[in-house]
Amino acid sequence: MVADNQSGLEAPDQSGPPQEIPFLVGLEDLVAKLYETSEASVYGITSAEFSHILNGVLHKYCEANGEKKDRREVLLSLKIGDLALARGCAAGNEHAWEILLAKYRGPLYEMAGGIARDDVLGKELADSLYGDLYGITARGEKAHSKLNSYTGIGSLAGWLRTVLVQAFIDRQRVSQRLSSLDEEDEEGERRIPEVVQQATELPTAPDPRLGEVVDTALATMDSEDRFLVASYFLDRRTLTELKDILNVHESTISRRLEKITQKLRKTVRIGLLKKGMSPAEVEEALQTDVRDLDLDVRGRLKESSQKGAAESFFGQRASTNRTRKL
Amino acid sequence: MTDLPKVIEQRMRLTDAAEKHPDSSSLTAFVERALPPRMRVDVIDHLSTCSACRLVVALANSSASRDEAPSQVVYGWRPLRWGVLQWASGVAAAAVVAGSLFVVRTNWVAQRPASGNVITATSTTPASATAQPASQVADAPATMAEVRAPRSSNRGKTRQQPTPDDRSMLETGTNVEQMMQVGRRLNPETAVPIIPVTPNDLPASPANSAVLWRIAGPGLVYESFDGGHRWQSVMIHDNLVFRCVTSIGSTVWAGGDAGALYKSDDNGQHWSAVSLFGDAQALPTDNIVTVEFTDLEHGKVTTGLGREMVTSDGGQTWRAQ
Repeated sequence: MVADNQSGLEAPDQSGPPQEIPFLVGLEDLVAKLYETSEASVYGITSAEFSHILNGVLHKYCEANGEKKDRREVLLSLKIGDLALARGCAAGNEHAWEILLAKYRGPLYEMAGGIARDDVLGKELADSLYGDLYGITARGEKAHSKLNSYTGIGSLAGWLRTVLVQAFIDRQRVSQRLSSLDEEDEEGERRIPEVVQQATELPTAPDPRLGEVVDTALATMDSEDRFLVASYFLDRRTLTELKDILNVHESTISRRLEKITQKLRKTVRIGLLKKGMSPAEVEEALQTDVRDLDLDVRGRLKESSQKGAAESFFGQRASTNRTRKL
Repeated sequence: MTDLPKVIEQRMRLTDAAEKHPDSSSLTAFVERALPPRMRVDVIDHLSTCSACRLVVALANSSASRDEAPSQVVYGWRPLRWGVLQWASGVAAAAVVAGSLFVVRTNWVAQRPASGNVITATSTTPASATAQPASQVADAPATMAEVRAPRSSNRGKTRQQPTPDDRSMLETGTNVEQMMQVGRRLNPETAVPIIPVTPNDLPASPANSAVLWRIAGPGLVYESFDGGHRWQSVMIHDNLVFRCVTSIGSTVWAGGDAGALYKSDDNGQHWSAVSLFGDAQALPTDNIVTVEFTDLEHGKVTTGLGREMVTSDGGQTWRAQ
């Protein structure tokens, strides 16, 4: 197959033996259908190039020795038109860029403004993202287009939103780190964030049994349950936000959280009793101040930096001091 | 809500040390609930221990919710007075009566034995179709039947490109039994969207970028290229009553009486009959009333007698469910 010069894609080498596309073995008919459906040819992508794109996607999400039906499932779940458009743009196809700009330019600026809640910052974010999408660095050098990392799992519009969110969080982290270093108190000493101060204090009365039992209980939790607990209690997400994320009714989430929390308490209590604690000691242990535990300073520092971005965005929410006891 | 002991919260924070994060596409698909189940489990598993990715998901989700929410202007709310409610209930009752009269009249027109094009429409349908209740056969306004395209005997053949003369365009009407939005319409000669794309036109609305499908009138398939303002009939078979149509991508499925099932892989340009069984003798004789496809491969048809057939290979083979 002849490489399409206009597409700018790296065409598979046709001079040697045919390149293996291991993840697409047995799925050739489906790939042909997807090629047709995706309109990839409109963006100058040949069927061979398209196969290599899909192979790359499957390589990312499927195991090499996985089942064919899993690979088929992934292929069928792809937003195949969006994937073709993105890869056409990444390859520099002009028609693809016309479509992308016409379709997403306006919404992208709106999205960025909505995420940053500031039009100026939003415009900066969107412009910066455009540079990444074009594959141009801040210094004007040619780089790999970020669109090459879009895999078609999820819509292109949603992917652009997610990338904007990540850029926004990174920007917030950097600005907070800079402001934290710049802020000095009147005596000229640098202020250290409160969380970090706590983390650097040495544990006073560690009880290895407590940490061990809690870790075991957490490790045996269902992933979705743990996600719910972490989102609600650690990240301070509201039931409404969780409802939107999981597409489950708020009352269902509330009941489920109640059930998980009770179960977790019970598991920890039983575990501690089995470890030889008396009921009174167990109750006391469950009221233990966090600083009495064996602390992982590195983990806490990491957590504090991650929370920085969250708190700056949700600052207003955090300052409301909700009475969600932990 | 039962409190979570601080000790548990603390340990959860400490174990929050995920190293390899899902890519942006996976997080996007999670937010859009478009992840295959196996991958969703992996992402949830990661999210349960990674606050950074939870933050990305939460922000992306909240941004998506804002973008999708219709803009509403609230001018303040006043409780309705009893007098207003009385008037409103009166108007509603009148509307119900008028609607009922319209339906009764429409059915009566459709059942008249010898008057105009409506009779022509029903007389060309097979006996099984004419035996159906009138409400199923003539649920479209008379004007819809009157402007129907002339029929030809081209069973299973290529549908000719309609010309302005033979296109029977319909104004948006009532009785939309089924309407599906599919991908952009392509000009088969140039493989370039026939709708010019300009920055002012997009983001595309259904009105300028989608083909809509529906069944209307006495079992005909209609398509619209302008978001449902105007409709033209699609000639799949000249002696069949169609009852359902669905599409996914450029693939369109239409089901009808006597087990008729037709498929087009090119947005309705060419159609071919699909057998629900390999053996033609075993074709079901009852009518196909619904056809549903979740993707290009997996679909289900239901017959009027409640029989369900499913396929997992794009309609090549079917099995009873």
